[in-house]
Amino acid sequence: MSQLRKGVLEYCVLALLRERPRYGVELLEVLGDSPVMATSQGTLYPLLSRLRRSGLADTFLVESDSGPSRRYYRLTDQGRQALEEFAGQWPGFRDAVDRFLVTGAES
Amino acid sequence: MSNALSHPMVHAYLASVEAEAAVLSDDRRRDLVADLREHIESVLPQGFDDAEVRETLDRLGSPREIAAAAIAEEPGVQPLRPESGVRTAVTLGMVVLAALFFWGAGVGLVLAVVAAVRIWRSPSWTDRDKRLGIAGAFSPLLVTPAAAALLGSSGRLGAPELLGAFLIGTVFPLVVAVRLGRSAARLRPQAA
Repeated sequence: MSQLRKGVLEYCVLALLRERPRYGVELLEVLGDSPVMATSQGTLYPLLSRLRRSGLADTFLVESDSGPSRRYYRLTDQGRQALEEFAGQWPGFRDAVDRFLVTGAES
Repeated sequence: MSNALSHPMVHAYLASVEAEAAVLSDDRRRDLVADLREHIESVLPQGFDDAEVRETLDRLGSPREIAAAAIAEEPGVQPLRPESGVRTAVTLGMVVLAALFFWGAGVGLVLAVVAAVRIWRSPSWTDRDKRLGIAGAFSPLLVTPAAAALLGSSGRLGAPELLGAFLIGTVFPLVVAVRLGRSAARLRPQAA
């Protein structure tokens, strides 16, 4: 399960960045609302770091009144493209898995 | 601004992440720790107490788990794996014995070569530790004659001077062996 979660988590993160940039703690808060996506918070940072290094997201710093400046993550064109590709394939993928699971239950 | 980062628990936690992530490149490790530091600073409320620090760190996850996630993101970087304590002890014992026997009939040289190969092939040490270990195994090649020359410079080179030179030549290998022994021991499950 953790491999599956890891695989889709990055697309969930990209999807969360689709509308607007967000900072790490903000992403964690939204992800934390879906317990199935919940992992130890700290493991999100290596993922964010990879998204940045592979050019799917970039970052900028914003000063904060309370506390340290925040590192915002923003979707790049490349990231948007990867997200669209995933979003296009996901329904077929999900339906196929559902089909196998249901057939498996009947036999 | 809070002084979250100077809290002993936070300090120990970040140091532990750094140790667990030792196989990562310096850049990658620094980024990881910087991200976690920033996270901790921004989630701890003003005037936090120990319980809040503990909760924040608990929610972040164990240093080992986070380091493992970071290592998994790096293609080609193998996580460190424990080896048996006996294996480590034999390898490091050879490093120290090599120093004592370096200049006796080549036994030490053979020991040093075997120790170096065992260090290089072990999954338990970072490249940096491996280089240090191999340097330690071969260091008597230079250190012992240098020490002998120095000790013998005032007069003749007798047995006490030679013994002294061998002991001096053993110091660095011993320090290296202790260091590598500790880093290997940290990987064993019961040390978690």
